[in-house]
Amino acid sequence: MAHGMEQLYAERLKRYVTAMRNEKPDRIPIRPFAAEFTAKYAGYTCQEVTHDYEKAFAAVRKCAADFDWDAVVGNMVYVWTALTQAIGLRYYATPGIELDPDTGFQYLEPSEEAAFMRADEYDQLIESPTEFLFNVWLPRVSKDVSPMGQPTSYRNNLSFLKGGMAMLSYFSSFETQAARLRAESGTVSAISGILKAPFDILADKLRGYIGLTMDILERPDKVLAACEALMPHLLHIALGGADPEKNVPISIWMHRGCVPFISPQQFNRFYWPTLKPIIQEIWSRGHQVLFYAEGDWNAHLDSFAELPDASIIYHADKADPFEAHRKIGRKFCISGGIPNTLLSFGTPDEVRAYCKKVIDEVARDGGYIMDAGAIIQNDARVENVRAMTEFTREYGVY
Amino acid sequence: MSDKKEPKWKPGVCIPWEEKIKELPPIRGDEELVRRKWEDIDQLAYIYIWHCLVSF
Repeated sequence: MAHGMEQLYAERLKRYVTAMRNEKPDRIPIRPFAAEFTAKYAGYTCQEVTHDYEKAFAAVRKCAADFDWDAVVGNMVYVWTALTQAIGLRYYATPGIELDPDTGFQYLEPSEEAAFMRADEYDQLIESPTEFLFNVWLPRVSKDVSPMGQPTSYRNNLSFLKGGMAMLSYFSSFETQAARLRAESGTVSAISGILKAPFDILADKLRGYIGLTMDILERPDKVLAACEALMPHLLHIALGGADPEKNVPISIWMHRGCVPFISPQQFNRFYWPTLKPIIQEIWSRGHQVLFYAEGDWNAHLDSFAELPDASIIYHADKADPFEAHRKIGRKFCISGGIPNTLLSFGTPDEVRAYCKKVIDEVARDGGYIMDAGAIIQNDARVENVRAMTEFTREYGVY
Repeated sequence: MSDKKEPKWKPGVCIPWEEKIKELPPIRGDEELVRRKWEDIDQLAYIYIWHCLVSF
C-alpha cells in the first residue's frame, strides 16, 4: 500500500471516529450512504449493480476515489439479487426482471392473509426461533424450498446449496472490497455488522405491518414474548459482523416501529424495551450502533437519550436534524439530515445553502457527519452530490 | 439481557453438539476436536438462516 494512501486512510479514520464519539475532529467527515447513485455515476444500470456485486463494488470505489469521501459502505445496494434468486425468495422485485433495468430493487410485502407467519404461530416462533425460520418461514418465502412433511425436490436441495455458497462468496468479498477502498483511495468502510429491532423483524418479515398492528391489540403478550425470543439471536448476528477493532459502528436499519406507525404507548411497550437492552449489551462490549432511523423518529428522542453517552450515532432521515441536535446532541453524534428531495430536485446553490445551515446549527461543536437523509439513489443529481461534498470539505473545517 | 427467558438452543446453534453426540459411536480420538468442528460448521447454517431473515 502506498504510504500516502495509508496516511490518508489513517487521517480519515481518525476524523470519522472522532465525530462518531461526539467529539470535534479536524473537519466534518463526509460519509454518504450512496446506493444506486453509484451506478448512475459510474455508468452502470441498476440491474448491473444489483445483480452483479463486482460492478456494485467497482461503482463504489469509483465514487469514493472521485468524490474523495471519507467513508463509504462497501456496497449500499446491499441486496445482491442473484443470491436472492438462487434461494428463490419471493419478496423482491428485481431490476431487469420484474422491474425496468434502471429502477432500484423493491421489497414486496405480502397481503395480510398471505403473511409469512400466521397469527396462531407465535408459540412456535417463541419456542425455537431458528427451527421456526428453517421449518416454517423459509418454505413460505422461497419458491424452491419444500414445506416440512412434503416431498423434497431437486429445487429444494439446490436452494440451500446455491444460497449458502453464494452468501459465503458475497460476504467474504466485502473484506477484499474494504482492503481495496483503503489501498486505492484511502477510504474507510463506514459500518460493520447489521442489527434490526425485534419488532421490525416481526413487521418486515414475519407478520407484516398490518398483521402486527392487529396482533399488538389482540395478542400483545405473544408479540412481546416473540420480540424477547428474537433478542439474543439478533444480538448474536450483530456482534458476529462487528468491527474487531471497534472503530466503526454496527448499523441498525430502523423501519416501522416509530410514531405514527405505532402509538407512543406501543413504542414504549414493545419496540423500545426489546431493543434498548441489545444496544446496551453491544455498547458494553465496546461497539457503537448507528441508528439509521428511516423516516422520522424524533418522537422518540427522549427514549434514545436513556442510552449511555456516545453509544449511538443518530442518523436523521426525514427527522428534523436541528431538533435532534438540540435534544440529544450533547450525548450523541448526529449524521445526515440533508433532504434527498433537495439532492434530486434542488440546485447546487440550494444544496450548499442547506448544508451551511446544518453545519452552522448542528455541527458547530463537532459530533456531526455529513450525509443525505436516506440512502442516495439514482434520482440524485450528480452536481448536487458534488455540491454537498465540496461545500462540506471547504466550509466544514474546525 | 439477563432477565430474559433462556432460548431452547443458544444463539449460533442449529443442532446442539449434545444431540449430535448421541448419534455417534464412542469417540476413540479427540472428542474436543470433533465437537469444535461440528459447532463451527453448524454455526454457518445458523448464519445462513438468520442473515436470510435480517439482511436479505
